[in-house]
Amino acid sequence: MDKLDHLGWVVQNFYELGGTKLGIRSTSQTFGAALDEVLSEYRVPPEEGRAYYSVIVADGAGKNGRRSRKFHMLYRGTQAVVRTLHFDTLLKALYAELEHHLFREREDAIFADAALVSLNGTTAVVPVQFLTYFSTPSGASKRTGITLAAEPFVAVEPGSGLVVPIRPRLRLSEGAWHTLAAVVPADGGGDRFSLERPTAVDLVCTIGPAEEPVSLVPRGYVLSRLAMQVFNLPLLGQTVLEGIGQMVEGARCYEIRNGTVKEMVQSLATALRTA
Amino acid sequence: MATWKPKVREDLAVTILQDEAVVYDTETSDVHHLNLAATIVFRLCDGTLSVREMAAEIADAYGVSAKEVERQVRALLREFTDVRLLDGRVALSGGKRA
Repeated sequence: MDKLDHLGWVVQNFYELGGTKLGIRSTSQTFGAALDEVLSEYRVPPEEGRAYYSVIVADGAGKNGRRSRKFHMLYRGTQAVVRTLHFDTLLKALYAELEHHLFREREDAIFADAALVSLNGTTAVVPVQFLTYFSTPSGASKRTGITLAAEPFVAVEPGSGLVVPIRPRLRLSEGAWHTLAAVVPADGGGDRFSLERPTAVDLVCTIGPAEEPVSLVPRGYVLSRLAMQVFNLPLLGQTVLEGIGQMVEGARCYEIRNGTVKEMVQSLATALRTA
Repeated sequence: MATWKPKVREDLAVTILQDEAVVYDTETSDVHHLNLAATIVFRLCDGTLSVREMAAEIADAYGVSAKEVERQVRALLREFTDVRLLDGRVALSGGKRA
């Protein structure tokens, strides 16, 4: 049984994006209806099977004896992508998640299943596992001060190796996104940063069986590991090696030793502080 | 029988970072990271040198025994063959084409 099934889903709709049929369910009827309007061009008839995305919209107050939901949450399958107090953060992550179904066919950037993090102005590309580590209630990010980018993917400009904002390609109903954003009043805050311009990363990290909690590793090794996570590698081939190569060439490359979430987050913080 | 002159597949995507090669195999979708020694041998696999000639060239450049280098070159070529980075099917025991 799906471990999220007890959370009170009230709406579920299906869409086809980049050749993938996926269901999106939510605990909010209003959110579900607004999202259905946003994605009307991609709507397909309902199907059997579980949802690919699950969106919990914080309601702020308990109903029918249920505990209140304080956090907005987005799950991909059973993997928590975002757990946030800020609805805008959830929407940015959801938007990037929807866009990522088109990444395999795109040539305007190198799209990697990785995460961008920052600490005191130092940025790092890290394995996607860290998304989950920072989306659990462990408070790991709060303790270390590390913040995540709102978009749970990384786009790299082929010619420069810079990390760039993900350009939108989805065809959304005009103005519908504003309707969606209005489901929960804006609070003016945010717990994740948005990449506004092309940026050189300072660190690129992998996870592995290193002897030390944090070890400098060859750039070629990191490139090979990250290239395997690139959605459009089959399409771009050599361009990916050169683009990611440029990125890692200007960065320090570390391997974080496999361990507990707490250990790995602490190791990442150490790497970010020493960069 | 003609002497085997190893040649890297032309359809591979390759980049070199800090003297180490990263190779993307478009057929298998595998990405390989080659260390310094493997990269030296990989770059010599252009179809013009026999295994012995490769070993002699490396031995000359690094001032080491050609016999020992040849053993290492053969071991690396065996690995390249196992992951299909080279053109054609080869047997490496005698350094000749199967």
